[in-house]
Amino acid sequence: MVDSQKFDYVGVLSRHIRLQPAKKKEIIREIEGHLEDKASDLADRGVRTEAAKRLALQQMGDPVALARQIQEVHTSVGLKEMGLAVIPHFLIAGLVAFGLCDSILAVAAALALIGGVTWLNWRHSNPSIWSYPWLGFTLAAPAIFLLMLVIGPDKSVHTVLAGNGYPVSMSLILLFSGYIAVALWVMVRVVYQVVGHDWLLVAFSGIPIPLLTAWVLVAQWLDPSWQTPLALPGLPGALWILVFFSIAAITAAFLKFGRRHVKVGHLLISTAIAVTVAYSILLLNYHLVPVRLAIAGLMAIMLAPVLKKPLSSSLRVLHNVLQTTIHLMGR
Amino acid sequence: MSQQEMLKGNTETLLLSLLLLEPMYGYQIVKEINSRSSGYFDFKEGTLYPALHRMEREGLIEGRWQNTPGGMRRRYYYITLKGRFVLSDRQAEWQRFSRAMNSVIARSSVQPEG
Repeated sequence: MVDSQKFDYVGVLSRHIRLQPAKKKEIIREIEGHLEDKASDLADRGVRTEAAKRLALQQMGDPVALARQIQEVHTSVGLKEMGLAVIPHFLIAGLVAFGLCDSILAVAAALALIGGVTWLNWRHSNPSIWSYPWLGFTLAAPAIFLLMLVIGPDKSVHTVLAGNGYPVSMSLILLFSGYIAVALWVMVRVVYQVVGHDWLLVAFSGIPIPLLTAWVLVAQWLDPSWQTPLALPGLPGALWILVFFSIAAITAAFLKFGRRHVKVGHLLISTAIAVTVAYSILLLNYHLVPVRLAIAGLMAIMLAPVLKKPLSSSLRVLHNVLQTTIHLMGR
Repeated sequence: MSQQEMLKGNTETLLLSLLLLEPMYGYQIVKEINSRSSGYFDFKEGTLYPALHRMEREGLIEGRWQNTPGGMRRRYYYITLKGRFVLSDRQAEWQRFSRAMNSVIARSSVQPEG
């Protein structure tokens, strides 16, 4: 009976601590050790075993409150981490400010830097919280290339590469195709891993994606020939710089807020505004299916923290079905 | 001010002072605080781990998994160099505070009636 209470206690802790699996396991092991020591100590002082275990649980206090405090400690950040988290936004704003968006070298260098920092953080599957915006930009790059592919057959990547400033060669096209394939594989793995412990971080990483996709759609709408693919045709650069500064501010505020429900609320409101503003102009002037699909997909990502339970249940069912299918196929 | 409020404001100083003596794990810390204060400090056990983890993130202490003398695997906390400096500042501040407090309280102590 008491052991099942301990099991329940640890279960509640486990559900409410949303950290990397290794870190979470370590914290729970530490608290379990404390409960064992306490119960054993009380038993040594003459308290009956069952009562000792119950007292140990009582004195540790409410598991939800304990999990919330631990969560806040491990997800709170200082000024240094906030600064590191907003660097990629300023980097993209810098590309816009200096008119380097149509320079393949500058874009490639920025992508390499962002991808490199992301890889350094994720190679041991123990990323710092500030690295999630970097991850978002890393994942946004292949998403944008894919978007370019689906916009239309005559607006394919080949056409994009044929635009001004982009040298056309079959090897470059193959390189981009390889990049998209590898990036997709990495994207699926990383998203699956992040979803496994916290949907909120997926939504946090995805903050820049609505604006970057809107950027591409606006660029395509205003300049269908892709002569200057990402050079912000028709829109003042200062506006885009302001946009990237705004998402840097959203990112910093997300990191600064301690309470989880405040983070969720902040993310939902700010990204809903961002998506609405970025796409309203497109919806009015540009009735493309990809625009509608992009809006639906982005809103689903942003709403995911709220819909976490039904989503995770569905994913678990899907996972079980896949496992059973693979097992049956193997027989 | 209640005892719990005073304890809350001085948790870090208490924990650093204990860890300066020797590295300890969570339950050992609770027992030591209880024993050294003769049971005066009723340390809420659930508040210990958030405090320890916060101090570890601030670089004041460092946790390492080790075996206890009884062979159990526990996370021992060690005070760091930064933790020693912070403790030294806190101790000096506490000395100044308690001297000032005592000098005021001593001159205006309430005599029991009757």
